[in-house]
Amino acid sequence: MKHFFKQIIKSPMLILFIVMTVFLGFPALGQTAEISQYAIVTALGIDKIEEGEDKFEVSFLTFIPIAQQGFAEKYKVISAKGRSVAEAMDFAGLELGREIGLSHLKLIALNQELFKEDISMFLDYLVRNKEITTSVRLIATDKSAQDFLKAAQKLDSESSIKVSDLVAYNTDYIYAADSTLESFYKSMLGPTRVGLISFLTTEKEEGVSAMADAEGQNGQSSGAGQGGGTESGAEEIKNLGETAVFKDGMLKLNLSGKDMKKINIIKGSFTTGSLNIRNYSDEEFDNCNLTFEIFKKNLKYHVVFQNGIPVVTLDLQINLKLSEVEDKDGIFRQNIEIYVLSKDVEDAIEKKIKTVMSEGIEIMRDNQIDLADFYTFINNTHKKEFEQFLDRLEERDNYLSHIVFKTNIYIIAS
Amino acid sequence: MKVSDRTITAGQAGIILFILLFANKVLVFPSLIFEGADFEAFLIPILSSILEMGLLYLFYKLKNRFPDQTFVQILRQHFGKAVQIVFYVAFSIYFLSKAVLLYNVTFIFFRNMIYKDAQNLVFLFALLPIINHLAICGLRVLGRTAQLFFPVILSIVVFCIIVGCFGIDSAPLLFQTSAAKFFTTFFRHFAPFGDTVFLFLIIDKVKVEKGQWKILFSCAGGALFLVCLVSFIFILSYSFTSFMHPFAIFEIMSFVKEYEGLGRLDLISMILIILFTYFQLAIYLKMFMFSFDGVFEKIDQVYGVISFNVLFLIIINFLIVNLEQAVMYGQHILPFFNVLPFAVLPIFVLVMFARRKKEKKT
Amino acid sequence: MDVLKEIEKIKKQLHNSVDVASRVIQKNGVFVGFVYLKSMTDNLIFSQALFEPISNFEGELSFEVLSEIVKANDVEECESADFIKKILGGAVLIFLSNSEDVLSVDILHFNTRAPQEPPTSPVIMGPREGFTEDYKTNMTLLRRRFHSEELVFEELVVGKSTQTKIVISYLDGIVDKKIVKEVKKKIESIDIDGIVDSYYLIDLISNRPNSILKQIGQSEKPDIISAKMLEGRVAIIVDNSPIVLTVPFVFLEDLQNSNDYYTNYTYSTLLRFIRVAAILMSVLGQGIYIALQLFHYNILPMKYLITIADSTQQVPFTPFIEILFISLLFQILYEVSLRLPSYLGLATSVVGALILGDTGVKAGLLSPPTVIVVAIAKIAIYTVPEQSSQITLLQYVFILIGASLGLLGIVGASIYFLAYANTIENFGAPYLAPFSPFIFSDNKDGVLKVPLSSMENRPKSFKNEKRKRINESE
Repeated sequence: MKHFFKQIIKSPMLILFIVMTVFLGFPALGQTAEISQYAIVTALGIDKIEEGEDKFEVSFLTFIPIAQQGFAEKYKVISAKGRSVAEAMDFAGLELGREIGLSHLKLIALNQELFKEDISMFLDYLVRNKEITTSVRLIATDKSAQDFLKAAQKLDSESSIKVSDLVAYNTDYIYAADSTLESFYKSMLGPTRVGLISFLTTEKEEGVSAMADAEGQNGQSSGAGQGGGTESGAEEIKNLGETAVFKDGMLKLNLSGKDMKKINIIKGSFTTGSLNIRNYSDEEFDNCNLTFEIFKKNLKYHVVFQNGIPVVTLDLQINLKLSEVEDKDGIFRQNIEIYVLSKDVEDAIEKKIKTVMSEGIEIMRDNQIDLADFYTFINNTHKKEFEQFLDRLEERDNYLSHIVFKTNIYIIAS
Repeated sequence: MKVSDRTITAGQAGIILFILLFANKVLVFPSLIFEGADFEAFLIPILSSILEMGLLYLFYKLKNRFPDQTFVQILRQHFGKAVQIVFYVAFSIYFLSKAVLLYNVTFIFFRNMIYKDAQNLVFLFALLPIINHLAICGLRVLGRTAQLFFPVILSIVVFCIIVGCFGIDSAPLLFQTSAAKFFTTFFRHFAPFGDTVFLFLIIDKVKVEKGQWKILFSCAGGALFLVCLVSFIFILSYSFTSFMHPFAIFEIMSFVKEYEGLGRLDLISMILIILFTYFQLAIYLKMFMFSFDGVFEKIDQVYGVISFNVLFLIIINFLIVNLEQAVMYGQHILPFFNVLPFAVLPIFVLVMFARRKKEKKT
Repeated sequence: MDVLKEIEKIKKQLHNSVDVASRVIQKNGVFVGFVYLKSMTDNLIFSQALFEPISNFEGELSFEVLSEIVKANDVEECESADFIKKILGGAVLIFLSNSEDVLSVDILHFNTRAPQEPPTSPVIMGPREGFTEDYKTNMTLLRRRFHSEELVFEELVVGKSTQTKIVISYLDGIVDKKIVKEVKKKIESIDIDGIVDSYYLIDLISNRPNSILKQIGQSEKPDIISAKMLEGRVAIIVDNSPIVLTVPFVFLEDLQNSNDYYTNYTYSTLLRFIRVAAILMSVLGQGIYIALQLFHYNILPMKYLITIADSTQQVPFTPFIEILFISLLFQILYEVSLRLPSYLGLATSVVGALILGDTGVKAGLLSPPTVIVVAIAKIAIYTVPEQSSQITLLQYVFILIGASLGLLGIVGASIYFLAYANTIENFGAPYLAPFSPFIFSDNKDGVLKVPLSSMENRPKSFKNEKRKRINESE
């Protein structure tokens, strides 16, 4: 026995283990689960207010655990006011008696009223908060963010549709307004200093809501409603594809879904989409509306300097398929899958794309927003000439207006 | 208590080298260099790696000259006891200071990521006993345990890099840094390098058989290549927003943070960082023990462990207690310490070679 | 010689124990005395082999004649100092009044179990024999597998009271002689009153008896022991124990299962990966779960978080107490089911599964995720049943560490235990070989398993005299 104890005393790790059990193990017996100490926030909304010293109202969509077997997701919206976002967050905890846990935050909704000031003022806290993943979605709303969250709560509770999914779909398939905290800051702090935030509207709806669609095209734009009968007068979230464009932290303009689509043609990163030619006539078609689905898009920029002015050539290789034909009487034609593009149709497509492209470039030029990041491309390939070119300009930011654009289009039908 | 440090194989030495060279660089280094030197920052790890490989080459030469002698013997034979003691005091300070930097960085990381508002005590309880145990058990046990974890470490690193590649989504904006700015950043963030020097201290304990040098070189080369790769991916993924992402290896996975049904993948990189922290601190402690042994040859090695713990606790509890001090320490003081492995040591070794050549001629 | 006197003397030495039997007959004026243990000898053999030939013999009995007429193989002259030892070993001593010499005839016989399939390591396709408590039968089972002169048995006796026979068995020319020497030295140096089972030996010959890690291999099956001996290990057979020990032992041995060798090698590889995963799950699972609950809720994905949060709300205990409670409950059920007779087994499963588990959850005393985590961890142990005691211990350690230090502590403790295992070297074999130190050729039968034809060499983890197994002559 004595020998055994001697051996044990010789082993410091065992002693340490006992010490640890006493000092850390016993207290742990009484420690409640972290889940019960935190209110898990899945969406956060910020509103601008002017009430005494308070400047912001921060609302949270929090998950509240309920003792039950069904594992339903119960959410609650709480709000708090404060001079800064951080202060409002502290107060919000009081309402639930729990700390605010932001690690599962998926969405930040910003009231458009906020955009009158520099957006970085109140986003700064969220950006530096290490708990928040930077892939959280940023959304702008026309009504108050609190109402937006309430509508989102309803959507979450009544269906499996999540608001953040709506925006994600929007980003990936429709308008390419990549609207995460990360991408917003990345492009804001990049050479173009332009950031995008998706714009969702909330509307009072009566009865059963329908899928909202800005352009009325078949399956092209995303709609956000929720299925099932809703109470009349409740707020509904709608995604019309609008996008708020910021430059240097300030709101520059709101682009409609249509405008975003035009710009997407010029962006190399976004590869899908659709193309619409109206009132087209040839041997085969008589005054028809043709819709093409873009399968793949390969866009390459080439730049040369002529007389000190950059000439950017956009080489666009586009892979598309006729997906819908509607004739003048509004009748949809069958068996279009086997249709082979004729030379005339190709010409029409080329003409259409060129129009769309030039419209897109015009939007960027007029607003001095370089959404396709021509700046980086020209800078990396022709650093010196580009600097000289920029120096010659009266207004450096207006470089887009002085760049000459050319387009080469190759159509591949599939 | 006598600590028995038996020899380790070239493979084990290579794995320890890999852990040291890769570990502390992938956490904050890529983010910091980008802040200082924009996109040109990817040249910094490449440049540092070349210097690091130079140090390894020097070790190769030295080991070939003196295959069985300890570094203490080599120094004493050529420069006398005084130089040997000065060297070993410098080594002690060097490894202790590196351990402090590492602890500070990881402490901040863990507090931010997985332990909300945790006290130093929790980390010390978790870290110190394990690293002491690893160091006291001897070099061979350390080498073998590192070998056991190496497949895990390597597969996580590769996984992180593959996942990180999905996060790349922007073209870099080149040519924005001036040479002066570049080199200032290079120097400021040079502190994580220079770890190869540990091989000199265990020169007699590494058993490198014929043809096994390539293992050591490929481990070091692989680690440095991966450091460059991680830095490169990080810089491309977080162009302009690196200030939001101080913890590189962790952040390169965060764009794909939540896979439906799989959960947050960054947990994997977190485990990697924890593993690295343990092993790296243990190796630093082991090296401190060797350095201590070189200074006080007659004293039991366990006193080396005790003094490391005491000094370490004093520094992290009283001297470097907040983030500012840690940054100041890591960027403005520590880089000067690298004079030891990258300037003083090579000079002495080269002098040694020159003398020997001369002796041979005469 | 005064036969009666001698018999009395022996009986007295054996404290007139009831099983000491004696008989004296007179044959042509010569007194013949028999002394033996009733409990250790067979009546029938006694009468057929000894009694009948002697009583039927017509002539003058002498020691030489006696040696020839008894019908037994094991007949020898016995010194007076060995009388007691021989009787206790199951021999019959025969005294003659006209001779000073004493004859000992070994007709030891007692009832033994026939070799059966051991309950601890059943196989699907493979030999079903198991060792028995009789060491001679066990030696036979091994000898049947090696028809060559290489197989060597060496006998040692340990234990003052029990005088237990211990047989060291190895293949000469394959085993490293140093290991045999060390084993012998260790067994010979044992000074103990008795060895009741081979488990007694484990503690006595381990290098680190205080360690929680298993350091000596054990098996109940002759095919497994033969395979280990072919690799160059030494087997230790202990009389009265169906468990045969092998040294040197490495952890890998428990990861391997005899089924692996009797099925397709790719399938064995898959099974081994599953076993590794199961070990990790059972050791770390509960610790990680409690760490996530107490420290790192934020790394749980939302969906799991909702499930866990909803289901743990009604539980009156804190997470740490809850997991300890369920763990303990399982352990109690396990103990009960081991001890209960098999016809009561159904009762335990009803009480365990239905009443405690299901009703506990429904009553809101336990949360389903915790029950699942504990159940998985406890069941996963039995993919490697040989290590069950170690794993169970480690489970509690990891629960404590997870609850007090979180994920950092769990990774740290894993490093600690693996480093600790790395400090152990038994009979020259590193405990975690061939993983650390990494030995490439041994990994052919590590977690991966290659076909037998590719395993050309014996393991390098420990020394053996002949490296090659296949195509030795090449």
